[in-house]
Parts: sequence; C-alpha cells; structure tokens
Amino acid sequence: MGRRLLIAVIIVAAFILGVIYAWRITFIDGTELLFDSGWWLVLLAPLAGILAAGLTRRTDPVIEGDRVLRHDGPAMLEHWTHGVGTLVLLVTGFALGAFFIPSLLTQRQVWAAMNVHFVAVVVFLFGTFYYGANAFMSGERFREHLPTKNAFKFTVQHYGRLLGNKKYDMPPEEKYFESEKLAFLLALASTGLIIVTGLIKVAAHVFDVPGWVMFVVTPTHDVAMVAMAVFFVAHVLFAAILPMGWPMLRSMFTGYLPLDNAKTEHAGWVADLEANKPAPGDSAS
Amino acid sequence: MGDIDKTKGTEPEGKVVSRREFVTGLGGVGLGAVIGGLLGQGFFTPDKVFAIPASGGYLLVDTKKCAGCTSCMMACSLVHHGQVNYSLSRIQITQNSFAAFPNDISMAMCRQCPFPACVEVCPTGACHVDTANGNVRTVDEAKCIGCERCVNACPFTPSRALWNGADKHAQKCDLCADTPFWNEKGGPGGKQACATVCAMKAISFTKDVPVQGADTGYNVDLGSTSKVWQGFGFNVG
Amino acid sequence: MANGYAGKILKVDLTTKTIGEIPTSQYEQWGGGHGMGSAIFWDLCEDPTVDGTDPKNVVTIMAGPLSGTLASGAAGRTEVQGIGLQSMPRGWFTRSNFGGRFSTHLKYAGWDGIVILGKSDKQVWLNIVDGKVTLEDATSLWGLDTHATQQKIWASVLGAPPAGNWDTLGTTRDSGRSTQRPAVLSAGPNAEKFGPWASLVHDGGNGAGQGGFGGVFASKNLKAVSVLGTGGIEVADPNALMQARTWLMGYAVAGNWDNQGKNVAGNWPLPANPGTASSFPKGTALRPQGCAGCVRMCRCRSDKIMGNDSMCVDFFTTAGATPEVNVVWTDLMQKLGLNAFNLVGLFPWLRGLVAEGAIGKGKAIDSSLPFEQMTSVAFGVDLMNSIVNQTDIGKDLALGLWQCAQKWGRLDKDLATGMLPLQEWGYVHHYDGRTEAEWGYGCLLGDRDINEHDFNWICYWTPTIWAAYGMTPLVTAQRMAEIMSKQMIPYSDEPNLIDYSDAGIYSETMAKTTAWHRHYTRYYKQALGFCDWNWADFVNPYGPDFVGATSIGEPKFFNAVTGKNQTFAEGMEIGRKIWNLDRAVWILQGRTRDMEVFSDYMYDVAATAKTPGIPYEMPYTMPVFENGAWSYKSVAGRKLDRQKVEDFKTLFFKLEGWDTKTGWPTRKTLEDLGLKNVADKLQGAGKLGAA
Repeated sequence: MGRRLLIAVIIVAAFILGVIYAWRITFIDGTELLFDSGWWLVLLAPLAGILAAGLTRRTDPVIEGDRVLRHDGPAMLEHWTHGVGTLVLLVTGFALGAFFIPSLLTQRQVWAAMNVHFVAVVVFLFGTFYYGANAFMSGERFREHLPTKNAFKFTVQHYGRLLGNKKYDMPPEEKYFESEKLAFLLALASTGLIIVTGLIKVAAHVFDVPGWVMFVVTPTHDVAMVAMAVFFVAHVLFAAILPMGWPMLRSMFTGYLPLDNAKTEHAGWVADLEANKPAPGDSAS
Repeated sequence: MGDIDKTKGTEPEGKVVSRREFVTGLGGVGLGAVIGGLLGQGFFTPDKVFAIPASGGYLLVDTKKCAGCTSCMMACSLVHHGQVNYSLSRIQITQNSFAAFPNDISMAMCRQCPFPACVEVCPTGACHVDTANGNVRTVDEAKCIGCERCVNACPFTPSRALWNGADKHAQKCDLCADTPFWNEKGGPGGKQACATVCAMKAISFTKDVPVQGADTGYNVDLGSTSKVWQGFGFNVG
Repeated sequence: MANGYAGKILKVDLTTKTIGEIPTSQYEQWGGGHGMGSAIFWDLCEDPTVDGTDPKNVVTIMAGPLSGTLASGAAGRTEVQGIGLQSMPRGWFTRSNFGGRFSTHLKYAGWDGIVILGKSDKQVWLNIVDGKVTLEDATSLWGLDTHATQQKIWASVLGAPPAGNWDTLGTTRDSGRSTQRPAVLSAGPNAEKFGPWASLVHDGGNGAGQGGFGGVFASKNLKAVSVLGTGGIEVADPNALMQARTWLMGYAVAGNWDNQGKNVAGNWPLPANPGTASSFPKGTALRPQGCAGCVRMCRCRSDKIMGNDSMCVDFFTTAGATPEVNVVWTDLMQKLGLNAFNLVGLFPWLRGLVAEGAIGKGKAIDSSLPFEQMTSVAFGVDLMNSIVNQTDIGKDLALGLWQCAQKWGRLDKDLATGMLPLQEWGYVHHYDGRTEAEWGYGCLLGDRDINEHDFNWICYWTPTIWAAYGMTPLVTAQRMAEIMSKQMIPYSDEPNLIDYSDAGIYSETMAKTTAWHRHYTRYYKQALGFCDWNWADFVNPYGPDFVGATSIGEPKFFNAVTGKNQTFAEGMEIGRKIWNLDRAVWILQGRTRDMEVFSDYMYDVAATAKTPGIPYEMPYTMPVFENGAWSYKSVAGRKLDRQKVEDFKTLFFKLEGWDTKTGWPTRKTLEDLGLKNVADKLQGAGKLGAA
C-alpha cells in the first residue's frame, strides 16, 4: 500500500511538474517545441511501459470477506496514466482546433498547448503500452474486455431494468458489463488509430514525411480524437459522475468493490470467482 | 487466467521464450537502443550542414509606382483560394492616405530569402524549399501543425508567412506555383498573378538573386524615372 | 454561395439602437448598389415626402456583387442614397457615390450594404469589424474634420497606431487578421450647420460629394461609418475573372506601355488624368493612386500630403488660382467635407457679383472676405471656413446656393443670366445641356447633375480637343456613330443616336439616347459600380478598330463573378426597372412635368465658354448628322428652345411609357417591369400615369 502510494505520488508529481514546465517554457523566447526537442521521449515512453509490464507481478481478482479485490496496483497504474493522459490530450487537442473547429487559443497559448499535449502524450503512451504489454502477456486480461455473444441481450436487460422496466431482470454480468465491453471496441479502435497517426505526426518533426501521408494522417487523428472524446464522456459519466458508478470509482483507488455490490451488478463474475477460488495463500503470477 | 509462465518456478520444456521474457526483452532492448542511439548521435555524429538552394525566382517592386489599388492582393487570394480576400493574400499593400509620398504606401512581398528563416524554424518541414518548383519557399499545408513559428520568424513587417485562420495552416508566396483557380502556369518558370494584374507595372519578376540586406535589392526602378512615367506628370522626386 | 455576394445587408436603426440583417437574396434581382438601394428605400421609407433631415429618411450605403473583386473599374465604388438636402425646389430622393476601398472592406466584413434608419439620441459612429457591429460615442469626433476623424477612428479600432503588421481582430489564433486600416466614411465638422453643402469623405478625398449626405448623416446624429473586413468573397469563375481583368488592361495604358502614342483623348485612359497630376505645384513628387481593383488610377498622392486621393474638379485650378493655392484649398475642402461642385459654381457667381459691385465691404451684400484677392490662399480658406462656421456671407451660403440667392433677392435675375450657374434643380452647371443635350436632359428628368461622362468624353471632349488643337481625329464622326450605335443595345438599329445637331437634340433618337443613358447608368454604373472614369467605354484608342469594351466588358465581369449568364440587354432592362422605381419615388415626392424646366439662362443665353463661366468648359464641338452626312461641328452659341424642350419631354415620356401629360409611369409600364406594387401605391396617391 505504501509502495503504491509512493509510486502514485511520484507519477502525479512528475506529471504536474511536466505540465507546468511545458507551459512555462513557451513563454521563453527561442525555445523549441517539446515535440521537437523531446521527440525521443515519445519513443522512450512506450518502451518504458513495455519494460515495466515485463517487470510487473499481477494479483488476480479474489473475494476477501465482504469485499472483492477487483483492480490490483498495476491495473490502477495503467488506468490512471492512460486516463489522465487521455483527458489532458483531449482538452489540449480540442483547444488546438481541428477540421472546422477553430482554435480557442492565441498564438502563444497554441505553443503552450502543444507542449502540454506532449507531456500528456508521454504519460498516455506509457500507460497505454503498459496496459497493452500486460494484456499481451495475459490473454485473459485482454479477453475480459471484449464483448461476448451476450453483448446485446445483457445490455438490453441491464439498462431496461435500470430504466424501470420490470419485465427485465439484471443479467449476470461479468467483471465488465457487456455495454462497457462494446464501448471498449470504440476505445480500442480510436486509441489504436490515434497512436499510429500520432506517432507519424511526431515522426514528421524528425523525418521528411510526404505531404500526402500527412494529408491522410491529420484528419484521421482528428476523427479518432472525436471518437475518443465520445467514449471518454460516456465512460466518465457512467463510471464517475452518476451515483451508481461511485463504488466502481472507489475501486479504481482502493482496488476493492463491496461484495454485495458485486453480487448485484456483476453476478456472473462473482460466480466465477467463487467457483475458482484459489487456496488461501495462493496468488496468480 | 494467468501467464503461461507460473511463478512457481517451473520452467517450460525446451527453449520457448515466454511472453513475459519477450515483453521484458523488447522493453529493455528498445530503451537501451533509443538511449544508446541518442548518446551516440550526440557524441559521434557531426552536425549536418543543410545547404538551401536559392530560389529560382523573385518578385521585385517599385514602390513609387504602386497606386495602392490592391489588385495584386485580390488576384493573389483569388488564384490561390478562389475568393478575393485581403487577409489571405501573400502580398500585402498597406497604405495611409494621410502620409506623404513615398511613405504613404508599403509593398510587402516575400523575398524568397536565400537563407529563409521561415523554412529553418518549421518543426515539420511544412515550410520548405520546393525543389520541384524552382526552389520556391512554400508551405505544404498538409504538414503544417499551426505553430506559427514561420510567421514569427520572418524578419520583415508584416510577416510574409501568414496564418490562414479559415483553413488553419500557414501560407506564403509560392510565386504562383500552386494556383488551382488560374489556368496559367505559375512558379519561377511561369507567371505570377500579382505582376500580371498590376496596371502600373509596379511588380516584376526576376530569376537573378537580388542584393540582400537593404531594401534596394527588391525595391527597384521599374520605370518610375522613365520618360513615360514623367510624361504622366509623376515626378518621383 | 460563390456568386460575389456576401449574403446579408446590415440594417441599423439609430432610434432604437438595434442592429439587424436583411438577406441579400431578397433584393438580388436589383443587382446591387443603386438598384438595391432604391428597392430598400421603397420598402422601408414610411414617407418619402419628408425633408432629408427627418428621422424617417432612409439612407443606404450599398456595395454590389462586383465590389471587392477584380472587376476592374467597378470593384471600388460605393453608392449612397436617400432624400437629399441640396436640390431645389425640394430635396429629391437622390444618390451620390464614392471610390476608394470602403465597399471592399464592407464585402470582406460580410455585408453587401448598410441601411440606416431613424435618428440617434446621442452623437454616434458606426463601427463594423467583420460581424461585430456597434454604435460608438462620437462626441469627441463631432467637431473634427474628416481626416482627423478617420485617423482617430483608426486608432480606436486598431488599438495602437498601426505598425503595418498583422493585427488580430479577435482574441484567438483563428480569428480574423489584417494588415489594413479600417475604411472610414465621415461627415465634416458639425455638418448639420451646412447640411446642403456637406459631403461624405473616405480616406483623403473619395467623396460622396453632391446631395448633402454629410448633412443627412448629421441630422441622424451620425458622424461616420467605419468598416474593417478580414473575410473574403467567393467568385463563381476565378479564372474567367482573371482573364477578364487582363483583357480589360488591353484597353488602358496598363496593357499598352509601349504604345503611348495612341492615348490621345478618347476615353482619357491615362493615369492621374484629366488634369490631376498637373494640378499639383511643379516639382511635387507624386504617385498615381487608384481605387480597389482599378486599371486606370485617376488620383494622386503627393509628398505634401495635401490633395491625396483628390482628382479633377477637387482642384481649383479652374478657379484661376495657381496650383500652389489650389492644393491648399483642395485639402481644406476635403477636410471640411464641402461639396467641390458647389464651389465650382460659387466662384463664377462671386466674380460676377464683384464685377457688378454688389458684394464687398459696405456693399449690398456686406462681406469682409478679401475679394480683391480671389486667387489667394486666404480667400479660399476664409470663404470655406465662413460656410462651415456660418460667418460673413457663409451664414447665407450655408443654406445652399439656391436658397442663398433667394435670400439675397437675386435668384431669378442671376439664373436668367447664368451668373449663378445652377442649370437645374439648384445643382451647379457641370456640362452644358444646350450643347450636350443628353447631359442636360438626364439631369432634368432625374434628380441632380448626373455626373455621368459616358457621352461626354467621346462626343464632347474628344472632338472638341481635336478641333481646338488641330489634330486629326482618331475616328470620323460617322465611325463614332457606328461604333456607339452598335453598343447602345437595345437601340442598336438607330444610326443617329449621337446626332447633336440643332434638330437632333430634340429628336426621338435623342430621347432614346437619353433613355439609354438613364438605364445604363442606373444598372451598370450605380447598381454594379462600373466607375465613371472607366465606363462606358465606347470608343477606345486601344480597342480593335477603336471599338471600346462596353456591352461586352460589363457582362463579362458580372458573369465571371456571379456565375450568371446575364446579357447586356437583360442588364439594360434591369436599369430601366430601377429608373422607373426612382421616377415613382420622385412622383410621390411631388414631381410633375411642369417642374422639369431648366434655369432661364439655358433658353435665353447662348452657350459660350464665358456663360456661365464654368472655367474648364471649352466651346462644344460635337458629332452632328446634317444634310445626310456626319461631321464634327461646333455647336457653341446654341440656346434651348422652350417649346422644343417641352416637345422633347413628350417624346421622351412616350418612349418610356409614361403619361405624356404628367410624366408619370403608366400601370402597364410598371407591371411589365414587375412593379405592380409601385403602380398600386402611385394609384393610391392619385399619381399613376394615365395610359
């Protein structure tokens, strides 16, 4: 717990300091954009994420008394680095303008936004590739995010029930709701596109990338940005703003979900956990 | 769930690389390669000197002949953008009716500098030397990220690189190399819209590099001291 | 839509201080400029019989589809309309227009024109920066001259004196930027005090000079209008517009630098002409200066600043003073926002009064002005200041020349001799209706001195100069008639349209010429902005076989910009429609045919250079068709016959489809033009022409 807190504090402090630095150097004449002077960090970040994943030991979900361990430390690290990175990227991205959306910023503020965008890129890439490598190593951790054949049936039942239709019963959702797993596809596609196009855009600061490539890459980056924003808003709404999501929000900080909440919302998952309960003292690698 | 490799210590049969080994190796080697490459580049690679070829053409003006009709500005925006718009014109004429000739009019055209600051500061190579069009200095709109460093870098006032807020990219005089709304061949090997429409012949084109440093390399006598001009009653003093 | 229009017209109600919009599409059939202005006035002026200073007066300041484009000699004009303060015996619904860069900025700001209603309770100026329109306090500007006002407004809009760099007009990276100064149109200092004389001035000397619009502005508590546009106007066929521009350059010096020998007279294609460059003192350093999009450049800027943007009659070389004196007077005239033409008419009158011993210290008209030195700087300065400040004779002069003469008990007498050269409607004699008939008739049957030189250059000045200097005419009179007939669609089957003989000036063909001129100028020149210094281009020394660009050039530019396929004949018909609408307004204002008479001198005094003493006039040599042959003949010394003029009017009314007894349009004429609502309103007022 103490180690987690320490890591969290270091990362948060580094991020905040990075943002402040990014903002302030734009107001010093003669400094390059961070995308120019620090492009190598954009390469290092994903590699660092991959390496970190290789050195990470995971703890599988398990029922502990009246609560369920849902997210281990690495899960929280991947989530928050990816998530906060995404938030700052979206804010700076929209402020910079795209398509027919004019920039909200003045010239100097545009540079500052680009530099802050850079800092967020580094954090985002670290978190995303950390998650990606973890998912690669554990097929199960990836598969649990993907929708099953119950996707539409469970979603209709779940939200029909929520909206007050007594005809429906709460379906036995798994660790992630089927609706969330459907949304994950959007997140996956948009993240993938934005990273590929984003890396090409960074590469353009170093290499002579042909104009026709950028002509395709930049609008794609913009479209993916909008898609990510849609996902982000929906995710934050359901997982953090609406009261029904608060236990889940807490679990992303503490790691734990109350058992009775889990039994109602994720009956299928709890059933799996009870069936596969490892012997006390065991923990998955 | 779980990894192929269990931490209970059992190694799998044979020399199969586990996913964890692969990931750790990729991350570690990758980091090492990037850091090593950076260090190596810093110590061992000499700074490259990029030679910028001179432009194949330049606009010359005679500010004493300019009548301030701004037809050049209208033509420039028209042939590049299909609309007449002073703010999109890559040549700017500014004037003050309450100032004394010759300070009542200023003609601001791009000088196609031999050492173009706008090209040098561009982080993505959007503002570049177009070798396919007589080395004219121009902006590849697709590559522009909107940082406006070119606009800031131009040593002249007003900046010859300008910001297009509607289409969100910088742009500058390309000697009409790319004029989708005009059926004439442009670029250093062709016609320039501004010079074509100038009724007073106050704008001309040359292939010779003008003398740099002072204005007099670009602001030249295009007939303002000629008998014809004086015949109209224009004594330029 | 890529059709040259911005899409909306700004509507400002000064009484309620509300800013609104009128979709341009509602008035697009009228073209732009004067066409739209008349139609909007018809729709929005509750009572056209009011005085021009009444808050019910509606002022329109209109651009057109060609404004701000490369339509050469059209892009720079702006048309101002409303009930004027100058004409007598009543202020007709009238017009004036001005060049420069105002209509360009108005279009780029996203507006096809401005409509001004009501009256502000406080002194204001209208500030337009793109779509942002506000009324600003003008208390500190009210007593300033036009030049100081403009510079103060520049500083107000741009924040700091412009360093010539890119100014961001909004707050963010993508909001509009410009290197340009705002285009400002301003009335003179306290213009309500000399309303009938007060002009509107833009930049150094682009003036909406006649009509008293400066006084109209002042009556609304409006000092100035400023506009800065950072946007653009899409054009239907940009390539065609570029080609049209280079084509037209071939008809001017612009395309003929190596061929100067041909620039004799014709349509005065020389830059800074006529007489502008030579109006400056010898040794003045000068450049030509032109309105937005022009090919001709008829003005100058000098190293003395004085006289910048002024041209021709703005300079008082014609008042017998030296250029050194004239340029001071011109500068002051523009700063004060005084009608230059009124001064042109005032000088001969004052000289006549002096010669008669009627004016001076202790004389019947008591004045302390230095009449013994009428060509000195001090005289002009004192005279102009007296009008603006209502001191000395200026107190009476400020009422207007007609009104002043009436007050002095000299009106009938001085109009009978021509000593006071007001040819019709209280407007100063510009060109002579006794000799150049279409000019006189156009003024008489309209609302003011027409100031439209289409026939004047070709049929008067050109043959007159050839004759005066013994030059070989570029074209014979016959060839001139051939060329012009062909261009004067829809009357091209008439061979004698420019017969200015003693018989010709009262003929039906002269009625057609006059009608053609009214229709052409209403549409092409005042609705679309084709400038008087470049169009109509009838006979051109650079044209193939000396044929000028008119009838081909106008549609070429219009269609390239708008994407329409309008013929010259169709445009002329729109001009006829606008002319009939204007006629209807004057009729509602009280016009009857018996009011349409020239001042007595036109009938009783022979036309010579001395009478009425407009100094730039030379004895008129014009084309005539007599005894079966064309020639250039001196028609100097002619007077008009009262009855023949009346008969001419009857012919003209018949041609136009107006009641010959009253001069009022008939229902059929109006309905054929799509003006049924106009016919209904005239009928309601008891003023519809009988069939």
